[in-house]
Amino acid sequence: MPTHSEDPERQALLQGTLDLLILRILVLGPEHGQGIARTIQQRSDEVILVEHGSLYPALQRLEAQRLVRAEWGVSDSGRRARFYALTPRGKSHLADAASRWRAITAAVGRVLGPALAEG
Amino acid sequence: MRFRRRSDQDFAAEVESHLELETDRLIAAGMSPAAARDAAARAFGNRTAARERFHESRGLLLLEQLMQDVRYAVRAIRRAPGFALIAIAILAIGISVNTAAFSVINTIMFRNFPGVVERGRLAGIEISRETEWGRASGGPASLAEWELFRTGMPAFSGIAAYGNLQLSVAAGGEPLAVRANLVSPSFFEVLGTRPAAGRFFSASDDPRMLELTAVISHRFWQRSLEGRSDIAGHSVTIGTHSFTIVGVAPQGFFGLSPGEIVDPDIGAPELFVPLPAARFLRADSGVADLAAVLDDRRLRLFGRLAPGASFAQALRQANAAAARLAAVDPVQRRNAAATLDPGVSGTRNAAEAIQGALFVMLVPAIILLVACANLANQLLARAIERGREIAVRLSLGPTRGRVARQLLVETALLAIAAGLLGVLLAWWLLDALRVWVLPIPFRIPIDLRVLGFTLGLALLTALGFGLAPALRATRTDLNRALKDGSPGSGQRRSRLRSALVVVQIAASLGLLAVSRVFVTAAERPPSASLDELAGHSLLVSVNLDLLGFDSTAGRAYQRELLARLGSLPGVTAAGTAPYAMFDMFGEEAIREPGQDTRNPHYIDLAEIGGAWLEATNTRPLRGRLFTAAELAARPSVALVDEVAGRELWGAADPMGHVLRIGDSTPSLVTVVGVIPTRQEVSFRQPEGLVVIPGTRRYSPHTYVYLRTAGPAEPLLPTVRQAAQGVDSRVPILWVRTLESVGAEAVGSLSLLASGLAGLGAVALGLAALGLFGVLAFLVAQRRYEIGIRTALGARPADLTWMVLKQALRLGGAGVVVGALLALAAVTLLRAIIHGLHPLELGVFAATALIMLLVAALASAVPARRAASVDPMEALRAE
Repeated sequence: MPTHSEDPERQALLQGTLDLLILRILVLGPEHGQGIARTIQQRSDEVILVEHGSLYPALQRLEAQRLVRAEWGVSDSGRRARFYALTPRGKSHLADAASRWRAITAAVGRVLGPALAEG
Repeated sequence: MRFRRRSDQDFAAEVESHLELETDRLIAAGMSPAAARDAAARAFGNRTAARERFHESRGLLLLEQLMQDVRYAVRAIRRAPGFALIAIAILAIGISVNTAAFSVINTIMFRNFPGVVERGRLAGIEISRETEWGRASGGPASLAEWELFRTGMPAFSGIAAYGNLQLSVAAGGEPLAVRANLVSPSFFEVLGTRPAAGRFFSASDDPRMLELTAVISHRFWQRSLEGRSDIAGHSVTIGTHSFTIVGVAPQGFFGLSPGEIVDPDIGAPELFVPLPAARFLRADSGVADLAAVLDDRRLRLFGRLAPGASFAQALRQANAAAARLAAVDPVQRRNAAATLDPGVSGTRNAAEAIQGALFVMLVPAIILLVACANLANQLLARAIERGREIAVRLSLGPTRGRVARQLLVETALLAIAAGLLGVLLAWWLLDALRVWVLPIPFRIPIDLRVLGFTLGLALLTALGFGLAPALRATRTDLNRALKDGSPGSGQRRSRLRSALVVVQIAASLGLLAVSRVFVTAAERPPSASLDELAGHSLLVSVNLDLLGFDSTAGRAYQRELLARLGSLPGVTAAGTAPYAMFDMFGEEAIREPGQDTRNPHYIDLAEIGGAWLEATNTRPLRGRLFTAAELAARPSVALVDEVAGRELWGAADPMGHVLRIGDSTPSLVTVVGVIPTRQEVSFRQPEGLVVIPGTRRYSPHTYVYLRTAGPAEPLLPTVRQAAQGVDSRVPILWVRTLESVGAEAVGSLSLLASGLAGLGAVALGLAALGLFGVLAFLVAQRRYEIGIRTALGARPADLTWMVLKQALRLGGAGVVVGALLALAAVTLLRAIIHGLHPLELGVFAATALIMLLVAALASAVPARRAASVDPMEALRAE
């Protein structure tokens, strides 16, 4: 029996962020799950360490919302993989969500100010 | 692709491909294959969690949880199989009674009758007329009226008529009295019935070809003609003529009147005679004209809607026909109008249908209510036993709603199992009903509609008896429950349980009271004169109607029959009356000569012949009986019973008063004696009786009453033989003892009464069990308190009284609610069945007393347990 007792707020934040990252990466073109995980790690300078397994529920959710679509294909290394691609709906959703995200982080940054008296 | 749900395999393949890609990358970065595989798996994290979340996002969660709940419920049920078996049994009884009752309603109101096609397109056509009291049902139609309705209604694709007859039929041996239908040639066509053998008549047949033909029922074919295959063309003797059988109706076919086949006096028709053959039924009397044969109104009309036509159109056309009828017969059919009965359900409107359904479903519903209340109570008790288990489950994470749902699934499983068992029981119950109670020529089917009803009922009961316990069980104080295993909110729980016990007591008491009302209806009031007759009285029933006797020949036959039977050795008195003992006598308009002609009294009238008064052991309270001369002459004298005397003259002495009997050709009679109120069944309350010598008019149906010197039963064959010997063509309907006639008159009533009493007793037993459970629970709850009381010096008697008081309080509340319930039920029943007695207070009080006694008994064991509580142990346990 599944027992989930995670704090729903934390989950929501993570979910939203991860979704945003995935959508952003898919702007570059169709990619499979492992490739997405790899790219997130590289582009965040290894700061964000996504547990690869948690990527898939997010992808599943995005697929259900029709923000991405998926198709089995063959990777560069010749392996079968499921490739995810942005749908037009996903594109416009990304545009909205990204600008909202930037506004929020900018606002949070302004509130926090320069790193001075925290230590 | 997008709309198809992804399979587990597809997801697993994706995870696999991910791990391979990652491993490839790590190897390329310089790791060893084994280390790379490990690292890839590590980076992926918990694969099971990923799969689980995949499931959740897939939306299958609800179904899977439900499957889980079902598995869990099955485990829980298997842990306590005893409880499950009892619960299923109790519920199955309740559900089976309801299923059987609904099957009957389903058959009468919704299904096609056997052999009838698309009943929904048929409509009964009834004629109403205006009377001085308002609009009244016009009753069946005459032959002439049928001719009027037969044409001019294009909204019907076919119109047909049928009427009941009793015919004397001989298929080789002695003549038998057989229920028959006189039918229009279109009858089977309009119903859409197909013959089981041979052919049917048709509206297009030449009427002359239909003379001396008949169709027989499947049962008659099997019983009296051995089901021979060459049946078409075979002949039977009906009355005095030989009729050719042209075909056999299908098995179970009874036409359109289910109400008649369950009436033991009528039964399902065995013979179908076409209207053009009717004149041969009475041909001996020299009547050649069909209309004269059917001088009375006995035809019922119905039609089938033409394709595309509506009932509204049909009604307009039927009303036009009714208007033509009113023009022809402005007296008897004043302002005649037509009403349609779409679907021929026998009910004129929805209100009537609902009332009928309510009547059938009332008792079964009460039984189910008792069963539900009982189960809810047991479940509450179990919830207490399982308090700890439930608390553990709650603390493991699932929400309260989820746990409550699991408990509900458990009860739903029990209910569904009970539903299945209930359907089997209902099947058996319906068969038993058919064999023992109602002579129905076909099996009452349990179809999809009934199964749907049962399933719905089962789930509803699951909610009914499971919801409150499930919610209560999950409203526990976790800490307390886990710590000492005792549940929280015990006080409230016991209040709910007490309420449930009160409901059970009330419902079972209500049932018993209702059954008591039927028992009284089936009981004969004590009568010294009837008791003296017991074992020394026989009745013979003969009906000359449609046998070719006119009134002169009929009277001659009846006189001869009376003389022959009266002269048999061992018979001390013989008399005739047109009605059987315990049967209803016909009402007649009776008034005093000077009285207002518009408001006569309607009082039962017995027109008797021979020594009827002696044969029925009737002795005058005042005055005298009839002399031989008065019996032979035109009526000039009368006897009245006490009730009729009171109705006509109040407290004054009836002796010497003159009565005017009848409207058109009245007889003036003088009251010469007062007799005791007649001892018929009290299903109807005694309504008064006037007795006059029976030479006023001829009745083809006669009953001979015989009083014997010795025991009557051994004389049965002799009497039958002598009666048959008077005229070999006349069937003797029956020869029976007074007791068996009386028993039959109340047969279905007493059966109903004992059935209800049995169910009431079952319900009472359940209620006692429930009461016992609550009291035992209360004692267990109050162990600590009882321990303290004992330690403080309470004697065992005090503690016993404490428990008994609780029992009596619950029982008393049940009795009060039960009284209200019984009152409501009896009021409803009396509105539907005329002549039922009101609830007898004394009897109800006795029943209530029994209930309280049962309550006291149920408290015995818990009380002893309370009295034997060891204070040391009880206090230590807390």
